[in-house]
Amino acid sequence: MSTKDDEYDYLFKVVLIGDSGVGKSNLLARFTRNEFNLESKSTIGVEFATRSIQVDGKTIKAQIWDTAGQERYRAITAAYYRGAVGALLVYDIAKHLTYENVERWLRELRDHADQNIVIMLVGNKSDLRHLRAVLTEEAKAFAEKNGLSFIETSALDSTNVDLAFQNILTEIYRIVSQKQIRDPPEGDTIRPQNVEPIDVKPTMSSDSVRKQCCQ
Amino acid sequence: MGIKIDLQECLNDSPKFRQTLEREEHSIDQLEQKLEKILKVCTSMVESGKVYVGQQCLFANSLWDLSVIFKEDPDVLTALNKLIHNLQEMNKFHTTLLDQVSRIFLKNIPTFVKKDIKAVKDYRQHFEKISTEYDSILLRNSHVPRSKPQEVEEVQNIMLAIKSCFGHQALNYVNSICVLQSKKRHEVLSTLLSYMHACTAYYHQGEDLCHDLQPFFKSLANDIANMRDETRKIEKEVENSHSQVSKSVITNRSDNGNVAKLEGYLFKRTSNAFKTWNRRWFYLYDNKLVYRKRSSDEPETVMEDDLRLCTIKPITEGDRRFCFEIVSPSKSHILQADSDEIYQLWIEALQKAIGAAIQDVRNGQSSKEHEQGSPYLARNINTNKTFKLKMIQQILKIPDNNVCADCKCPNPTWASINLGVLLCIECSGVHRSLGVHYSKVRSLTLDEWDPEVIKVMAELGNGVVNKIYEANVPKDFQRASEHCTGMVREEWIRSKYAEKKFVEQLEDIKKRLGGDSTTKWGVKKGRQYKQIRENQEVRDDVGVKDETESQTKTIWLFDNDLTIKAVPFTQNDAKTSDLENFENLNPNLLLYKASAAQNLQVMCQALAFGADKNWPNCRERNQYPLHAAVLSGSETACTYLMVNGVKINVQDQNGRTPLHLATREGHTTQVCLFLKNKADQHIEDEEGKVPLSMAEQKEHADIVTLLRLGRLNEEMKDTESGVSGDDMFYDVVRDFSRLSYLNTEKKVEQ
Repeated sequence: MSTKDDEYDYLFKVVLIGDSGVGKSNLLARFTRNEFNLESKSTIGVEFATRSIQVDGKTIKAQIWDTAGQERYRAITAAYYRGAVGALLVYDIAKHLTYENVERWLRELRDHADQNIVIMLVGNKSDLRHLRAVLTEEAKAFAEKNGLSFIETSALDSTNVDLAFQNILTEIYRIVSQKQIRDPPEGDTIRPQNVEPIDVKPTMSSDSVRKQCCQ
Repeated sequence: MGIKIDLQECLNDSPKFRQTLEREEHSIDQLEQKLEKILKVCTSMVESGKVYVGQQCLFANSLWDLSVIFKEDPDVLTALNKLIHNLQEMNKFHTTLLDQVSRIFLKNIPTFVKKDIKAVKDYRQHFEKISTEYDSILLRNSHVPRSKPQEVEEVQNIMLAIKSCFGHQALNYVNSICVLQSKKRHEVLSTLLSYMHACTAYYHQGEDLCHDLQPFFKSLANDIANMRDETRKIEKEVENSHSQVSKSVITNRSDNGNVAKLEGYLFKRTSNAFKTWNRRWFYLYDNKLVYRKRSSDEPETVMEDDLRLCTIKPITEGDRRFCFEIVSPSKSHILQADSDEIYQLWIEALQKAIGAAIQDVRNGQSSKEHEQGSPYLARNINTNKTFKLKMIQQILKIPDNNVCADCKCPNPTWASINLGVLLCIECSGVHRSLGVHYSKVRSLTLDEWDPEVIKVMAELGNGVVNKIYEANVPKDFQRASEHCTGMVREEWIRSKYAEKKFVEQLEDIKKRLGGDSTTKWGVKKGRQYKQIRENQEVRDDVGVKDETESQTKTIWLFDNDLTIKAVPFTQNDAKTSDLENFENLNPNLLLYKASAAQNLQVMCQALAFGADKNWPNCRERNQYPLHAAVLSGSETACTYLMVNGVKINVQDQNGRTPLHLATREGHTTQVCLFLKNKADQHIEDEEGKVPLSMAEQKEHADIVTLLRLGRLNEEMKDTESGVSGDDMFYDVVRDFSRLSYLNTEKKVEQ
């Protein structure tokens, strides 16, 4: 394994979900290896990849889980979502059905993932302009209504792929770093007794955090 | 009242007669119309009656449906059933009434109209016809001239005839009218009377029924009053309980005030990066701290599986109040109570539970008394845990497992997992001193047991192992006993396992049985063999075909009861491994063959004979016993070899490791097992393939996932901060092995 990103400040697990064939594996390949394969086969089992990025001078390592969109892997559903702090919910802008199924995936997240998981709705294959079946505005409105962030990407021509991961990881980082200030640390950390904890009110306000939860 | 028509008037056909006739005809027409109206109304009355009865029937049925709700309340159910039954009875009466009404009206009146009135009308027709004829003949008669006497006579004759005919017809007609007018009187009344009779019968039946029911109604009214009282009482109680809300703290606390059985809601901080706080129902059970969601079918999750290793620390810093930390060697969890009181209760309960758990072990008790800890456990059986408990209990039931394998002291609570025996604490100490290459000691109560290791223990046991390791004890050798000195105990155990002094050597057995070139030998397949192999193709690429087979006379069969039977040669049967020649009988090949046959008892024997665990079988592609065990499909045989320290990454002639073979064969459980035991998955076979590429090629999703997960785990570990990665890896591996275990169990049950 490469050793260049051995050092990191945060490790975030992010899962890729969405129907079969929307391009999850290619998004992963583009982000972690800058690769794209037009003839990629359906993913067998679960695939894992990592990549580190910088946010606010901190190194954040993303551990990304990707699985075939089919429901064959029920056995490890719980393990798949366990510990995940982010989810990229991917659909294909040229296939309306994959957009319709977004609700189903949201339900699955609600059932299995942490209630605070950060979800980003990703309309992939934005290069297929002439075949567009889902309007950007429609998806954007849906995302807003459900408290998701939204972006359109193309794994083929690289548009927005890095930005999508960058955005979701940054959002997770903001939430987590704010929480750390508020909550007692884990383990045996000794705190100086005379120091008053400074309660830094989140700049984005906790509303944006609350919006993530599945109401 | 009859009508009077003067016969003379009739015969004279006088205007008065005609007037009377007209009046009567009108009256009959009226009668007919009215009767028809009655008929119509009656028909619709009967129809709507039938609809009513039908609805009533549905009503009763819907009441039957309702009674299902009370199926566990016999008092209500009996009363309800009786009421519904009577309702249906009433309905029956109603049906009968309707039947009769329709029969009475719809038969009597139509007959009257059709027969009697129609008869009158027929006569009227005849009468009118003859009357016209009579008129015309009179007219004709008036025209006849005097000059034609002949014609006069003829007409007069006809006229006379017609006149007489007219007279008859008129009389007939008048008669029929009279009869009809007279008949209508009693027809109408009798019909109505029948109707009344039917009604009376209906009401009578109802009266009888109600009369019979009176006592029941009375007692029912009493019951209802009682039930009302009960409701009032409950209402009051509920009201009272409201006042307790402010007081009550804990949802559930057993009556004897045993805090160790506390259960209730706590907030728990998730271990992911968010540190989300979730409210969960916590309880203590079997020295474990477990929790579950409020609404979920999922079984409970074990937070701490051994309270003895935990400590409780209050957390006074941080924003959140009433927090405490439960710390075990590998992890820590932060929990939060709703109030200070609950917080204190939990801390007390946990500390007591920890103390009790440690006490239990000191007293050498099993955890049985905790089993009825929480009501939730009865409902949510954690299959894995009960499976394990059951297995351990089964191990204790194995012959001779009630006493220590070495000193016979009762109730052993320790085990040697590679030897497959149960030991007392003293002997386990000596076993430890031998070193792990001789004996791997575990506590039955203190240690975590993997299910596959339990299975190994279940296959062996003190009886089997002692039969091998104590086969030839010299009479004067001092055996260890419950109260013997440490010296004796040590000497006995060392001689028995390390020096293998009392094992009957294979060469001696060979001499004793006296085989020759006509003798072959084989190993009987293990108990689990068939069930596991059932669905797999039989591999025939191993085994040596021997041209001298026809000369074979006897087979030495290594049976799992450890007798070596000389059986007459028959055709090689499915219960035996491939046969080998007598001169090839040596411990190494015996271990190899026993591994392939999943026969743990014979494997144990071969190890006692001093078999080399890492011996490649040159006649079978240089495969090692572990390869043979993998190909047999058994994870128990693999586990037995691994706990006895075989090398896990050995390669056969084609460069394949056991992990390669398990992957190729699609044995998910074995892949789990090898990954858990840290097999190297980066070894390439002669074609340059690693297990992962093999699995990808075979599109075996579960194995692909497991292998990739293993790689991810290695990667996270490389970075030195991957504790969480490790946890997750074992979590998933556990999920998988539990799943494939359940599948195997199911297969075995079928």
